[in-house]
Amino acid sequence: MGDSSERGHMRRAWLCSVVLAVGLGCARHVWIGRDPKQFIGPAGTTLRCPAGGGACTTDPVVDAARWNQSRTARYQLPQCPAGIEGILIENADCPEPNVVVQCVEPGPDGLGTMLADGGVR
Amino acid sequence: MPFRFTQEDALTAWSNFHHTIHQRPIAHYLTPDGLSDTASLATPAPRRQAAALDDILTFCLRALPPKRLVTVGGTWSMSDVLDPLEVVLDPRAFHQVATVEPSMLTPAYRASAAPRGGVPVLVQGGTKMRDLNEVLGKAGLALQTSGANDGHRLAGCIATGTHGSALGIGAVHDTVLAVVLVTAPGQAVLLQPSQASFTPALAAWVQASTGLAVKDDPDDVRFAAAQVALGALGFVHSVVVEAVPLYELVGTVVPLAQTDPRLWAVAGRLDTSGLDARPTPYHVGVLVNPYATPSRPTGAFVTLLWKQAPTRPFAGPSAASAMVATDTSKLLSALVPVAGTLLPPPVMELILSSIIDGQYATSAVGPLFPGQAFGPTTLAPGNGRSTEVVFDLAHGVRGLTAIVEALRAQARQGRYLLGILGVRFGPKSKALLGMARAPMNMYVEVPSLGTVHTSAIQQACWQALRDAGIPFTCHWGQEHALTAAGVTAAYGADAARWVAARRALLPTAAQQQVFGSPMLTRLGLD
Ligand SMILES: Cc1cc2nc3c(=O)[nH]c(=O)nc-3n(C[C@H](O)[C@H](O)[C@H](O)COP(=O)(O)OP(=O)(O)OC[C@H]3O[C@@H](n4cnc5c(N)ncnc54)[C@H](O)[C@@H]3O)c2cc1C
Repeated sequence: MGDSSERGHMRRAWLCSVVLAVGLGCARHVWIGRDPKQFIGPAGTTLRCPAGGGACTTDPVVDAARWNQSRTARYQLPQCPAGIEGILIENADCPEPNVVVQCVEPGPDGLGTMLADGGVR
Repeated sequence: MPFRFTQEDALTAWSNFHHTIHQRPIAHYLTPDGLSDTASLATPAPRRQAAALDDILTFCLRALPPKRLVTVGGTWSMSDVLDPLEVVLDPRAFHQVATVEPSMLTPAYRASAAPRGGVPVLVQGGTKMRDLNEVLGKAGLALQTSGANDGHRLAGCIATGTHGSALGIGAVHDTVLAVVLVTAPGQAVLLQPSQASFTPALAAWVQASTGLAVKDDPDDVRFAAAQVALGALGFVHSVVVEAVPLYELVGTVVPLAQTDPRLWAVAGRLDTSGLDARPTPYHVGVLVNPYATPSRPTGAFVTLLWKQAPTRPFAGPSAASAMVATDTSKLLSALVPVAGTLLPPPVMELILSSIIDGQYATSAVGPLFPGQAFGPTTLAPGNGRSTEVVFDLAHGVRGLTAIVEALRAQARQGRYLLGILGVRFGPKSKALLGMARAPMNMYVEVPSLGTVHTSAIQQACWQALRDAGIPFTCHWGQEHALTAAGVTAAYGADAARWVAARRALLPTAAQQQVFGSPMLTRLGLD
């Protein structure tokens, strides 16, 4: 028994060092936001989005400090004129995950009418 | 070389939707009008696009040797009809849609279109089918037919002869009234049949909008060549499709055992009377599970759809996500060949049949707008393979039986298709390279998640038809069995006419190289 408890202790110690190493090496958070130079308006509602893809709902926590935590990898969003289709964080458990953003493809404005001199209304 | 109004990227790894072309580097990936700079906005979009095309074509034509230019659509093709090299043009910004001004219609067209309510709509070639369905639907219009899904772009869709199963209509290109091709810097041609639908005012309008010199060219052969152009006749700037008043599709999916004579009445002569007393449906499709035992009540599913006037306001399709993750589908693709060698065929076939039954429920269908019935795909991207054979419906029963038997013989050797046969129908196409050659045709699609056995299975299907003495041709956009001799046998003088039309449209060797491809050379079409 003593033997196995000793092994259990050693295993825990080993796990701890792994966790510590991961903790030190990994940014735990990823922030993806607009280019701060492009001011569109003041920050608005904060939403929390569940894993699995359900609808995002108002985040009950209001805390301006959350946007400025240490160990946060920071990324700047591109300008997608028609909006963002989705954001893929590849290998999210790595220190600097890849962030891949897919823009919405702009589509037709609607069914146009031809103008006599060329062009569409 | 800087290209005006064009975003230029060097890509290290480009793949098509199904990864039949995988991680190819592209030195010049060019997206005309893809810049988000506000300076460009002073020039109208059609002028910006024309300037971009000028520069791109000049770059390709002046190079020594000339550089091949491949325009991508939705990249849904699996064959080498889409085979990009160094220079790729992404026409995503070519997405304007406008009804043709009524004064530009010829009296003959007006008279012929009136009974079906035809409305000519000029659609730029880069327009996604889903967007087109949406824009038309909101205006109370609809396409007459489409493929089963909506992620391709109009020019890419017609380039390979994409079709659905609208019995009285044919393929999408059969609803095309005119095509605007850009063949050289600053030069375009508006092709339409000699029984013209449009007065020269339409070509003049495109010219005024774009600044390109646009020649009105009412010529039956060149138009019929451009209906299925294989991306090889020039850049498809715009297409005039004939839309019709918005409609709904309503009907049923009927499961049948493969021993049921009603299945073969449909597959052999499109006789649906045993399934539904209503007159011939607008759309008939059949799914056949090649691994169902003859008496399994779900050996096939027959879909019958009729057209009706809208009963509710227009709505687009619901968003769809892939049924499985691509890596899961790849895992399945890797596991099934192993399982196929370990498990006896009856067990494998039972497993596959149960999965199929779970996916294709029997039900009443609709009412659905066409864009809902043929909406987003649920296929996982990155792992699909498919071939489609097309033959005279007169051989329908024998041809379909030969393919099912071939698949069963493959299964006995542990090689399984991870898919279900899709059988559709369509009348003869007027396009020179339209795949539907007989008065009425059966299309049999053999889709699968890719496995190490997929190519062998496809070949077995082609061989089964040859052994049965059934002449067939293949979908240009899917994996195919085509050879130069096969093209000549299937298309005869039409293939020669297509080549002649191509040479007339692209008279210089440089133009032919820019819009050429190894596939054309291999098939004797260059
Ligand atoms: C999920 C899925 C479902 C499908 N369903 C069907 C179906 O129901 N029926 C059917 O018949 N087929 C079907 N297909 C096949 C598909 O419709 C064809 O392969 C079609 O050609 C794909 O269109 P695309 O826009 O993706 O064109 P791409 O595959 O990108 O290109 C096809 C060809 O068109 C050329 N091209 C594209 N745009 C232009 C342009 N502006 N100017 C000049 N050349 C151009 C390309 O260079 C290429 O030669 C399906 C494929 C997939 C992946």
